[in-house]
Amino acid sequence: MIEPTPQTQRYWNALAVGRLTGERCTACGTTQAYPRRFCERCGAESREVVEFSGRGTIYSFSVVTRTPPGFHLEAPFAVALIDLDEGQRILASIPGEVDSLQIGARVQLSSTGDNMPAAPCFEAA
Amino acid sequence: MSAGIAIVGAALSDIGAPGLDGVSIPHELAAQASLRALADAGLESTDVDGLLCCGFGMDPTLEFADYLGLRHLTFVDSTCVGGSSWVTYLEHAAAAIASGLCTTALIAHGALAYSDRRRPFEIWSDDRAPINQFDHASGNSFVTAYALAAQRYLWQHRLESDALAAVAVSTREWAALNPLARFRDPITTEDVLTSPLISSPFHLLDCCVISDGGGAVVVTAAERASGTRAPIYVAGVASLQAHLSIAQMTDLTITPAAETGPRALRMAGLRPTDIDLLMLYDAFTIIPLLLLEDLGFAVRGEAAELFASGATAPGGALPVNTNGGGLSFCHTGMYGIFTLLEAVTQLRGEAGQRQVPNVEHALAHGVGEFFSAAATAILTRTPR
Repeated sequence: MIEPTPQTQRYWNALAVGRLTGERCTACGTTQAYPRRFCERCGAESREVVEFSGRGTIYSFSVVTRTPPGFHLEAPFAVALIDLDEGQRILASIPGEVDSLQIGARVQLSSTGDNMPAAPCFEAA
Repeated sequence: MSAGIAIVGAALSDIGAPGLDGVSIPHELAAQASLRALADAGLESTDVDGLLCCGFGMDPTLEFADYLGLRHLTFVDSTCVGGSSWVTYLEHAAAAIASGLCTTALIAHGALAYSDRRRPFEIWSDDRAPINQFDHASGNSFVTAYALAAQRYLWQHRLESDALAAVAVSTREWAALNPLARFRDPITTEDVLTSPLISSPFHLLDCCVISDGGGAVVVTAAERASGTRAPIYVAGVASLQAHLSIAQMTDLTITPAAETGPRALRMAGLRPTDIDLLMLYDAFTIIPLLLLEDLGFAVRGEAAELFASGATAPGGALPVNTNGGGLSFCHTGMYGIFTLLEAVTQLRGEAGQRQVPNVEHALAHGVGEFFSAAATAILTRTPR
C-alpha cells in the first residue's frame, strides 16, 4: 500500500518517530501537507521541512466495518479528514474507540505502532 | 443552442444480474453493445471513424478497436476520469466532429465488475503513487470517501440517515419497473437502515450493486441525424476535472456539478424547470442528493425531501434514475454510459412500463473517482 520514494522517505521516517511533517516552499512560503518535488503554487523546487503540532479538528469521518485486505488496523476503525491547526487537510486513521467520534472534535497525532510505514493515526485530544 | 451532435444509435450489452456466464473479457460486452448501437443507427462498423473508450488496459482505444475490427480511426480518445468519462466523451466527440476530425463517433463501455470482483482491483497499482501513500494508506476506499461526504452533509444540515435512505427507496420503485434490474422488490427506509453498516453512515442499501455490463452510443453531427431511426439531440454538455483525493476537495457538499450543470444548461438554452427527467450518477445515496442541489433542482439541505415526498419516484413531478440506477439496476464500477442510455430510451418513448410521459428534455450527470470529475449532458427529443 505504501512504497516510500526518495521524495517521501523523510516524511515516513519522521512519522515513525511520532513527528508529523510537511514541506514549505522557500520561494513563496506555501506549506503542503504531502511531499512533492515542486511547489503546488509556484512550481519552485526548493523546500524545507516543517513540523506540524499534530493537532487538528475532525472535518469528517467514517467508521469502516470491514478490514481492508492487508491493512494494519482491524475494523472497526475510522478514516478521517482532519483539518490540522496549521491549515492543511489530511486523510488519517483513527483506531480504537470510534463510537463517540464527532465532526468538530479535537484530535491529536497518536502512535501508529510498529507497522510503519502507515498513514498517520490520531486519537481524541 | 446546442452541442451540434445527435445520438443516432444506442444500446446496452447483456446486463448481468449480477454476473454473466461465459464472458471472458470486458471488451466482449463493449463490442456487443457497440454492434447493437450501430445496428440501431443503421450503420456499419466501417462507418466509424472516431472511438472514445477506456477501461481496456494501458492503450484502451487500440485494444478495443482491435477487438472490434476497427483499423482506421482518425479520432481516438481514452480520457479516463472515472465514471463520468462517457458523458465527457459526448463533449469530446462534439468537439472532434465540429473540427472535422471524424464524422461518426462510437462511445463504448464494458466491464466485468461482478465476475472479476475477486481479482485485485488496482486502479492505482503503483504503491509509490501519492494516491496510495497519502490516501488509500489511511484505509480509505470509494465507499469510505463518499461516506465522508455523506457524514459531512448530514451534520451540516442536521439530518439523519433516513435522508440518504429516501434515495434508495425512491430508486428501487423505478427498478421494479425495469425487467433488467438486479433488485426489484420494494424496500422501506427501515430496510435500508437495518441493512449491514458498511462505512458510516452508509448501510449496504446505500451502496450500488456490482454488475457485469456495458453500453454504447453512436454520435454524428446533428444535421446528419434526421435520416436515422430515432435521433436524440445533445443540446448541451460540459465537463470539469477538479481534485483527485477527497482530501483535496474544498467542501465535501459542493461537487463539480455546481459548475458543469449551469454550463450545460446555458449551452442548451434551458433552465432546471425545463428538465423532465434526471439521470444522476448513483454509486451511493449521497450522490443524487448533492447533485440535485448542485444542479439547481433543490435548495441546499432539502434534496432528501424531494426523494421522500415521491416527487422523484414513478408518478412524481421530477423523475430521477428511472432505470433503477446504480443502486438497484446495475453498476459496473464506472456507470456513466448508463445515465445516457436511459435518458435516450425515455426521450425515444421506448421505456415500456417505466416510461415517463412527455419527456422532451433530459439531464444526465456523471461523476468520476472521488467527486473528482464530472460532466453534465442535456439531451432533447427534438433539435434546439
